[in-house]
Amino acid sequence: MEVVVVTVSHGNKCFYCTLGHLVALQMTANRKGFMVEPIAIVDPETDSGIPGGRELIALAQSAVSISPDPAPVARVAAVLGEEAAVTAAEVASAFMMINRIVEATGQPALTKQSERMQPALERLGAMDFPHSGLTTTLDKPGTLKRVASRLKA
Amino acid sequence: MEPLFSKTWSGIAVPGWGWTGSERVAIAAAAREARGLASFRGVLPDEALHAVETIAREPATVDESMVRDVVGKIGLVRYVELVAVASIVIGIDTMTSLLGLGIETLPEPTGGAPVKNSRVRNLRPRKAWVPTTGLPLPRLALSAVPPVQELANQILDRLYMDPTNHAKWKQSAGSPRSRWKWW
Repeated sequence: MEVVVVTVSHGNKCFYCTLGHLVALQMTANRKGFMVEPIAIVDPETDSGIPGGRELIALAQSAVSISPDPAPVARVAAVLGEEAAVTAAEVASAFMMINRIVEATGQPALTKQSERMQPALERLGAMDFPHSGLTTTLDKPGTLKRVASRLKA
Repeated sequence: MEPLFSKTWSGIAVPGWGWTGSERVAIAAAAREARGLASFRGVLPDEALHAVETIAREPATVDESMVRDVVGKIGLVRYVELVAVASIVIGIDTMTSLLGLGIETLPEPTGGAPVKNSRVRNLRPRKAWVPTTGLPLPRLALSAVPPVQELANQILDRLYMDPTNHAKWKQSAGSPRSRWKWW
């Protein structure tokens, strides 16, 4: 799911969401002891390491295009099943909305996250996004996580 | 999915805190036109129309000076509502297009003047370009106008946070090796 979010956010040049979900993607990979290759988002020759990754990335890229196409959804369905394909389409659509809300209201990303992820962001070309310099520090460590959990609940 | 769409269209068609129902539907139409999906036949102030087009086409090109300029001309409440409506319609259009359902007809606007704003507790300038009630999170980005924040959050909850989606992935993502990717 996070590879869909990162691809859509990258396509919309949303620095905040690209960074946040790149972190989520890599944290999951680290926790489970697998390698994930985010460069696959911009390089079709690279294997993301994710089952169905190529198809999921194509679906997300279609979502960002001016004419989203059902064909990539069918290809995800063929590889991962129909429900997974619908879920991927839903997630891609949600981030077509969220990226716009974030970008139009100037939500700053976290400076520490941005610094830590800089090499990966550079490889993805995300440091050239218009809002890559829009970052902030939080007054109390862990505040964002606590508030996010509370909102989710 | 249909109840969500129906609820969302109804939420867009009614008068908001800053725009009438007709104006909100016009914002949705203008967002579609900016992406080549429909023709726009509504009346919106020039600066509002420009903002909608930019958000729809190239959201990352919105910058702080543009937001200040638009907010200075149409007001914060109208700007936040405009961002919400334009973003939501693009989310829904993406969904229906990806599923091969085509573009849904925009709702008929409900008549009446914009409703009286209520005071929003804890709303103040923080780290973003518009005042919010809390930290820089998408779920609070539109908190200056709670009804549109709620509308956007409902979509986010259903399309991204819905726990039944997680269950779907667990069932369909196949081997144990693949499952870790999603959680």
